[in-house]
Amino acid sequence: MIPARTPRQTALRWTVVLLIVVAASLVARHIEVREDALDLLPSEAVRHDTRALQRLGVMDRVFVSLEARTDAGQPTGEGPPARLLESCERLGRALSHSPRFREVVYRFPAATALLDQLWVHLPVLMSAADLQQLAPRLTAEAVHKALTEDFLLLTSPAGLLLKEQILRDPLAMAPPLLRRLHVLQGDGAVTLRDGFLTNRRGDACLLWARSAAPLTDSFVAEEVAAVLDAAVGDSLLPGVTMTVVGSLPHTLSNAHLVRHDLGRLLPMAVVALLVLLLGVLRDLRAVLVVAIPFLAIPIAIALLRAFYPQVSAVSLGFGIALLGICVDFALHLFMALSREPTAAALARLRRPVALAATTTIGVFAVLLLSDVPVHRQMAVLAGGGMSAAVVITWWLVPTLIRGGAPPPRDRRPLRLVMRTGRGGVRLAGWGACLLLGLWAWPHLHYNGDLKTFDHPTPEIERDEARFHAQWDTSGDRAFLLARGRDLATALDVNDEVYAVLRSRGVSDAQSVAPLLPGPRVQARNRDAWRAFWGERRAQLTVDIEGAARELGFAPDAFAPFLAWLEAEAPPLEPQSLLASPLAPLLGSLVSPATGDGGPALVATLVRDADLAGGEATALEAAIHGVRVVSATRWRNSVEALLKDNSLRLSLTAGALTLVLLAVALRRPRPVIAAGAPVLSAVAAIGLFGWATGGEINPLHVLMGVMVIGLSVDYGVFIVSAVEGTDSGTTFLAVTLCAASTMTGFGVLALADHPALYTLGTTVLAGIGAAWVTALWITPLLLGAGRGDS
Amino acid sequence: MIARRRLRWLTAAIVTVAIMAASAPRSMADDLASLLASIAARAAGVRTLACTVRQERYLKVLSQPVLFTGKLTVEKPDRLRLEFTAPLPSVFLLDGSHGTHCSGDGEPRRFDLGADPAMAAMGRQMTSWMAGDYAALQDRYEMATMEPGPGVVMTPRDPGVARVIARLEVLFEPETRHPRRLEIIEPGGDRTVIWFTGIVVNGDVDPRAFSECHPA
Repeated sequence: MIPARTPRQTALRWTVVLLIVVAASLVARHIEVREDALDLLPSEAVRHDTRALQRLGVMDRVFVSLEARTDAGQPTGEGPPARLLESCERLGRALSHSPRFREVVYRFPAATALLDQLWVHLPVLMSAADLQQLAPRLTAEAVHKALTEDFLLLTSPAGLLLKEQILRDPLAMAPPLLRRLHVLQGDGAVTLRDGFLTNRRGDACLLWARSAAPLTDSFVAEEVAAVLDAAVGDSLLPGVTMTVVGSLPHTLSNAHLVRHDLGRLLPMAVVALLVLLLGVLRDLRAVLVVAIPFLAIPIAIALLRAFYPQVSAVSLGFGIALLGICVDFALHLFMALSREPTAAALARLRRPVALAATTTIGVFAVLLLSDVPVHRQMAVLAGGGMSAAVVITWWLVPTLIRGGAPPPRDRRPLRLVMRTGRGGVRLAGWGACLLLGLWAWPHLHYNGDLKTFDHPTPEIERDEARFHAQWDTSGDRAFLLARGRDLATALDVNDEVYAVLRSRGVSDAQSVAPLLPGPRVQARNRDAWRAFWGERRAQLTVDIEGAARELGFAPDAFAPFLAWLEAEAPPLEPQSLLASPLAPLLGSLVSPATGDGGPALVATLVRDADLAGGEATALEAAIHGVRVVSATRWRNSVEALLKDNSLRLSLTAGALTLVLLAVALRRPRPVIAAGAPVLSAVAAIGLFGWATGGEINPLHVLMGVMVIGLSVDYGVFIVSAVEGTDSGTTFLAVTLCAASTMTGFGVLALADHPALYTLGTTVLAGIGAAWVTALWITPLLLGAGRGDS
Repeated sequence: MIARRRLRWLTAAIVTVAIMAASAPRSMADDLASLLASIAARAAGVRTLACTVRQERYLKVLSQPVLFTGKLTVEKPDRLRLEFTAPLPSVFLLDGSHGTHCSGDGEPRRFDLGADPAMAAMGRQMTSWMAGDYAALQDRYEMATMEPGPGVVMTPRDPGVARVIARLEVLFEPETRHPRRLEIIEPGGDRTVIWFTGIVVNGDVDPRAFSECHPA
C-alpha cells in the first residue's frame, strides 16, 4: 500500500499544498515584471553603455518622415509645400501634447530668439581662435565699412527686423554663433526652413519624439503606436505621406509575429499533448498529473521576488517553461504507481527522481554564475520552482492512484528495446554521431547579435531604406559618451572629445560643445576675450564713434555695445539652455546626473567609420571619462562576452553533472551511461546548427541548458531501470516524456519568428537525440542487451 | 424751463450719439469691406508692379531723418526688389524664403527667412502691402479705414510681427487704388514713410532682378 491512501490523508495533502500555493500567489502578485533589454546583456560595462544610451533616449525615439507627393505619386520637386509644413506642425504639436511622448522635435526656435538668448554669453563662447579671426575686422577702415553696411541695412526693410541686432552687434560677431547650430543638428542632409527640418529637396519634413516609456516593451509600443496613429489621422493633410522608423515598428512587428505564431501553434501543441497523454495512458487523470508540477509556479515566483523585486519577462517565461521538466517526474510516478501502487514502487523511484532532480537543479544552479541577469533570475525561478515541484509532485501524484492488487512487474519494454538492432552497430553509430558533433561545434559561429531575433517585415525594411535615402542616415553611428559627476564635469570632458575629433579631421560630428562648452573652456574663452578687447577697446571706441558721427548716427547709438564689451560676461549655465526651446534637441545629447548616483552624460555622435582602426580605444585612453559606444564595437563586445559566458556555463554544467552522477552512481559505467543522452543532445544541437547555417545564438545556449537537464534525467531513469529498480514503466515513461516535450516545444519549429524557431529546433534536435540514446545506447553502455552482438 | 430745454437738448444729443455709435462700426466695416474689395479687384490683375520710391526713415539712433530715393519692383506672390540710388546705393531683395542686402562693394548679406518664422512672415507680407493682397492680410492684421482716405490702418495680430511693427498705415490713390504712401510705425516710436510714384503694373521684369543685386 502506498502512502496517502486514505481520503483524509489525501485531503490533508491537497489542502496543505493549495494553502501554500495561495499564500505564495499573494506574494507573487506583487512582483514587478518588465521588458528590459538590459537584462539580456552580459557584463556591467555593456549594461552601463546600454543604460547610458537609454537615458539619452536612443532606443525610445520614434522618427517620422513626412513626405509631400503630387497626385501622380511623384515628389513635388519644389520647395516645401505649405501642406507638408502644416502637417509637420500639426503632428508635432499633437505629439507634444501627448503624455506618451516627451522631447518632441519638429520645429527649431527662431534664429533671432536663439541669438537673443546666446548673445550675452558670446564672450564665453568665442575661443581665442575665433577672436583672432575677428581682428582684421577691427581696423578703422573695416569698422567704417561695417557701420556703413549697418546704416544701409537699418534703412532698408530688413532694418525693421534687424534693428536690435544691428545696434547690439554692429560688427556682426554673432552670425558664426548661429552656424554652430548646424553642429548641434549634426546631419548635413537636414535643412532648416521656417524652423522645420526638411531635406535638401524640400519635399520631406522630419520630426522625432521620445517615448516616455521603453519602446522595447511590446505593450508600450502598442499604446504609442495607437497615439501616433490617432495624431497622424488628425494632422496629415491630403497628399502628405508618412514613414516611421526606429525601434517602434520593430517591436510591433516582433510582437505581432510572436502572437501570431503562438496563436497558431499553442492550440496545436495543447491538442497534440492531450492526444498523446490520453492516447498512451488512457486515463483522464493524466491531465491532472501533468498539471500538478505547475502548482509550484506561484511558489517559484514568490521565491524569485525575495531575491529580485523586479524581474524580466523573459526570465519569467523561460523559467516557467523550464518548470515543465517536472512533468517528467510526475509521469514517471504516475505510470509506475499505476502499474504497481505500492510503497515499494514509490521507494524504488525515490533514488532516480532525487538524482534526476538534483542534476537538473544543479545545472540550473550553474546559471547563477552567469553574467546575464536573465540567466540568474531563471536559475532562481527554475531551481527553486523545481525543488518545490518535485516535493509537490511526490506528495500529490500518489493521491491520484486508485487501489487494487499490484500487477506483476513487466520488463517486456526493456527487453524489447535492448534486443532491437545489433549492439555493436548501435554503439558504432552513436560514436560516429558524437564524433560528428565534436567536429561540428568548432565550426559553428557564435552569433551574439540580438538582432538575430529581430524579424522586420518587408514594409519596415522598405521604409528604412527610404528613410536612409531621404535623410542620408545610412551607416552606423558611434556615441562618444562623456561622463562626469555633474553636468559641468561631463561638459568639460565633452569639450576634450570635440577638440580631439576636430584635430583628427572629423568635421561632421554632432555635438553640443560649440554651443554649450564646459566651465573650463568658458573660463579660458572669457580670459581670451578680456585680453583681446583689453588691447583693442580704446581704439575701437574712437573708430566706432568717428564712423558713426560721419554716417549720421546719434552720438550714443553704439554706447551700449561698447559698454557690453567691457562688462563681465555671465557664464552659460547648461540649465538655461536645457530650459530653452532647444531642450528637445539637447535632450538627445545631454542628460544631467540622476538622483540615484548616475553620472551626467554628454554625447557626441560621429559616423562609426570615423572610429575605425582602433580610434575608439585610442580616444578612451587619451581622455579620462569618455566611453565610446559604437554599434560595431558594442555588437562585437556583446558577442564575445556572451560566447565566453556560454562556454563557461556549459563546461561548468557538464562538470557538475558529471560530479553529481559520479557521487550518486559511483561506478564509471553507469555514470557514462547516464551521461550518454547529454552527450548526444549536445552533439545533435551542434550538428543541427552546422547543417542549418553554421550559427548558434544565445537562445541555443539557453535551451541547451534545458535540454541537458532533461537528457540527464532520461539517462538516470534508464540506468535505474536497467539496474533493477524499474517498475516496468520507465522506458515508456521516458518515451512519453520525450514525446510530450518534443510535441510541446517542437511545434515552435514551425514558427516564423526566429527566436521561437530556435527554441523549437533546439528542443527537437537535442531531446530527439537524447531520447534515442537513452533507450538504445544507455542500456548497452551498462552492459545490458549485448547478447545479440 | 431752461433746465427742461437743456434736458431735451441733452437727450437729443445722447440719442444722436447713440445712433451714430451704433451705425458707425457697421458703416466703417462697410467702408473697409468695400475699400478692400476695390483694392482686391485691382490687385487681382496685378502680376508685377514697379514704381519710384522715396523713403523717409526716422530712427532714434540717427541724428536726423534720412531720405532715400530709388525704385521698387514687386512680383507676386513673394518677390521684391528695393533699390536705393541716393544718397547711398543699396539693394534689398526678397525671393521666396531668401533675402539679400547689397551695399557698396562688400559681399551681399544674405538672410535665410526660413530660419526665422517672423522674418519669413514679414517677407511674405511686404509683397502683399505693395501688390494689394489685403484680403490675405486680414487674418494677420486688425484693419480699419483711415481718414483722410482712402486708406487702411493695420495692427498686427501675430506677436512676432508686433515685436517690430506697431502699426501700418497705407494710403491709396483714390482712382486706381494703387498704394501712394506707406507708413510703418515701430513699437519704440521709430517710423518709416515710403511714397510711391510712377506705378507701372505688369511691366516686363528681369527675373534675375530678385536674386541678383546687380544683374548685367
